[in-house]
Amino acid sequence: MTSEQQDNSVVWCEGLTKKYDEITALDHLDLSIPRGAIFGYIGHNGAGKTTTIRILAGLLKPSGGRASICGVDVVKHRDKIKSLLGYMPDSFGVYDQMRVWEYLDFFGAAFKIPRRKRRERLDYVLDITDAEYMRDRFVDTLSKGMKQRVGIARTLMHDPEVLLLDEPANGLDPHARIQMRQLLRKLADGGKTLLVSSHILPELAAICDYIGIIHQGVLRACGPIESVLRDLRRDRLMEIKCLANPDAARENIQADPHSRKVETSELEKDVLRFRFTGDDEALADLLQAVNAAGARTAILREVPLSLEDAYMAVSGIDDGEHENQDESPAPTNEKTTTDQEPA
Amino acid sequence: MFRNPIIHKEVLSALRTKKAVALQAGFLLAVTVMVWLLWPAGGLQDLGGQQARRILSILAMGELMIVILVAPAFTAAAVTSEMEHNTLEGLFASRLKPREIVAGKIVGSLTFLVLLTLTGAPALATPFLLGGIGHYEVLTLLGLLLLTAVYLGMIGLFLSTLMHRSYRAIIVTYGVLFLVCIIAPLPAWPVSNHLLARGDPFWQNALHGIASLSPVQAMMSLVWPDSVYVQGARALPPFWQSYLYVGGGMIILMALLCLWRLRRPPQPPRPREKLRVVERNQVSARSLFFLFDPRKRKRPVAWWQNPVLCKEFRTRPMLQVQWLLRSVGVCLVISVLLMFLVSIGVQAFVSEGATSLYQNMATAVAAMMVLLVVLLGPAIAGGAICTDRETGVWDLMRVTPIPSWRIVTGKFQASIIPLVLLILSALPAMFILVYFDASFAPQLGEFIESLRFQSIVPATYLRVLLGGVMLLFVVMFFGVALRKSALVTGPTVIFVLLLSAALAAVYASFLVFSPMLQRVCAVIGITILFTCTAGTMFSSLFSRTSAATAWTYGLVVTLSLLSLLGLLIEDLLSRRVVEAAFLLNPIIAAMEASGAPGVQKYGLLNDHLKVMAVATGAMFVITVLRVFQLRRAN
Repeated sequence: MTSEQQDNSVVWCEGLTKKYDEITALDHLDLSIPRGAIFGYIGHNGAGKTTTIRILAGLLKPSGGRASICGVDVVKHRDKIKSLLGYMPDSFGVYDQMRVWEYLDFFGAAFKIPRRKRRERLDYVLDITDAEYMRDRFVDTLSKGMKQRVGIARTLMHDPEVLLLDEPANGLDPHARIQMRQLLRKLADGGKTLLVSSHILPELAAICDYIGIIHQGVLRACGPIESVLRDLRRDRLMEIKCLANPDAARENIQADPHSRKVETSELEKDVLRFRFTGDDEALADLLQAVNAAGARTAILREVPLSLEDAYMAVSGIDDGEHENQDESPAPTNEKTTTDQEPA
Repeated sequence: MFRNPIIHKEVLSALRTKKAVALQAGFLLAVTVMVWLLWPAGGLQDLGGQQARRILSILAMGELMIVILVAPAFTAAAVTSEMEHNTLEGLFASRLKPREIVAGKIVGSLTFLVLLTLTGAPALATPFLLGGIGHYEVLTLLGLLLLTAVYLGMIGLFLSTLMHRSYRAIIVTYGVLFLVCIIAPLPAWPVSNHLLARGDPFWQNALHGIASLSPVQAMMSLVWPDSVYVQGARALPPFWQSYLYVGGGMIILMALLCLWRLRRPPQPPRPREKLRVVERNQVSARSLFFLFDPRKRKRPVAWWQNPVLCKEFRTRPMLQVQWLLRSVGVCLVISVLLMFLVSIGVQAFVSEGATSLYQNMATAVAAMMVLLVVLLGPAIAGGAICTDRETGVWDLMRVTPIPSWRIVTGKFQASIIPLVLLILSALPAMFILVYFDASFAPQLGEFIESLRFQSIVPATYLRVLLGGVMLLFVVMFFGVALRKSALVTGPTVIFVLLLSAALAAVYASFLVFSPMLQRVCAVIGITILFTCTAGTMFSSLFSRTSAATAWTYGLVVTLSLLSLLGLLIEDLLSRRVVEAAFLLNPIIAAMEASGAPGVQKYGLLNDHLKVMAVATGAMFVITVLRVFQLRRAN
């Protein structure tokens, strides 16, 4: 990573490593997030997401490497970065017998915000998180979704540059997830840089500008979401619908050197799916050959790669290993056939 | 029963922890030290068995104290910890029947306690070597100890089914054990003028039954049958015999109550009201009658305030203003009641040789004030830091720029302030003694007399003062009627300030003129500091409030109550050992400060203050370092 990249990045890591005895929780992580971006940090439970976030928040000491927030080293200048970032852990505690505004006021005072300014900030954060109606409620009596909003409001009290949100949508109902998504987008549009970890992929796909996919402590893919998906699209999943003679089409596709794993769709017998590694020229040749065999192609399309596919491809998880993704939604219908393979 | 999975889980998890090993080692060490200290140094043996019996009695009392101290730590959190870990509903969702769950909890949580008690059996048997005692005496004592372990453990377990948080269950259990062990036998003690021996047979029977609830009373009646503390009514059986029935009955009752409570999963705590807030410009009747309305909107944390201290006062139930005021009121009433109790039975309450009534009363009141600190301090300070770690707020505090020392001082002050307020509210009992006894403060009477006679028009001052107070109340009344908050807040502030100033003046004048009061206040002050620092230190060392609270109680009660046993065996121990045991005892120090002749011969007061100050300082430093470590990136 160049120094120019470091200069442009709000969150920056190089060779970040964390070891617990023999276990490597984080292995030489390189990361760069530009200002105003939402960075989706994807990985299954125990992949190293929380470790990264806790190191960036100054709560955990890395075993090696460097990390900075707005150019300030997170290890050497722990006190300085506190005002630069807002950290919301996966499950954060609340106090008994404390109203929402008192909770926010306490953390505002802990960040040494003067009383008058604190009052203004309190109004602002309650407004931006749509939590104004909770102002006088006791924090410990709020629902999970409401608490998450208050948690984000708390991280915003001291107006930090960067928000580190660990699984903010975890445990929320669908409506609350949509609201959370809108809130995160609103914050990014307001100039905040967000690092949002999650293993609920559709949440991130909808709002993130950048993604990083981490697996067993190693960052397997990182960059703008489109770029990551494009890089992973070396092995394209194609779908062809033949109005006549599908067997001839099948034979032609199987004979093509760029094609493999040809299968008939379970729902539509005249639809074939196959993996294609060639370029567009090779694809045009194949289409010509299929039509020449009398297959009468009605549709030839590339099945778009979802973030889930990318994650599955990058992390090398097959269906058997997928069991700990308990909160992920069911796979999309594009991969109902048995063609899951690592990229 | 032995296939009950809860028993397997409870016993295994209790036995495989480091805590279990440490506790057993500590217990064995304590009884070993007791045997070593009590063992006769000379070669002469008492063939009549008096010496062996005395050693046996001291060992039994010592072990009883340890059992009383340890029992709540094991059982009071048995059910609450399941609730805290959200595992209790899982048990109810399984095929286990409620009675199996209760049986599992009872057997599981009491097994270690019984094992621990049995560990002390060899120590109890050592007096055999001196001769003169029979095996039945030792077995009776051991049986009584086992019964006590199960009985007190069951009380803890039942209270655990009533609470939702472990540390609250532990605090309440210690409070109930204090009532059961110390307050219940009071009618039989000289301090109540042997209330039990008076009245009609029904009254005597009732009080005898209540006193028989106490394992301390039962043990005393067994090992010291001639003591003035165990002289009940003549027609009634000894306390230890009644205790066997009462204790057994209580065990069955507690088991049934546990079964009743756990016939279905305990409900979560009732949700509090959510939105009722009295704005600062609004007026409520509570403002007039309670001075502070808990629903009134609080002010934001000011720049000069420690946010941690503010947060503690807002979030911890025991520190909220309305509860503090009520506690202060209760303390005032108790201090007056105590005066009454002590005045009717003071002669027997203190050691022999005390002649002055006022002297004895002052000793009792000073000791009681220290006891108040010892009993309440750990409950207030024990959860200072680990509550934040338990609830997960600690990580949020770590990412704020609040320095470690500010966190510690905030937590520390939050523990000290309520204790100081409670003690100040209990001090008037002492003032009455000082005022009426010229020997305590000879100049005080002269000073008050001089005020009275040298004033030109003293009655005018009084009238002006009373008139002013009445005027304030009238203004406040109109404030409530007209809903003008300024008319309520203003007079309230003036009234509180005047009252505080008057009280401060009274307290200061008494303190200036009475050296005894100065000494007592110094002892109580250092005890408050010591207890709060110990609580804060343990709460920084442990991650669970229940453990920190139990350890704080263990330390403070061991220092202040267990070492009191030394008073009973002064002649068996060398003076150095007794002095060492008493050096850290705040109750002994308070008694000495108030002039109790029985302990003044040791002259430990100054050393006690110094040692406690050093220990407090050391614990404070440890706490700051530990908090610094907890806040560091790790």
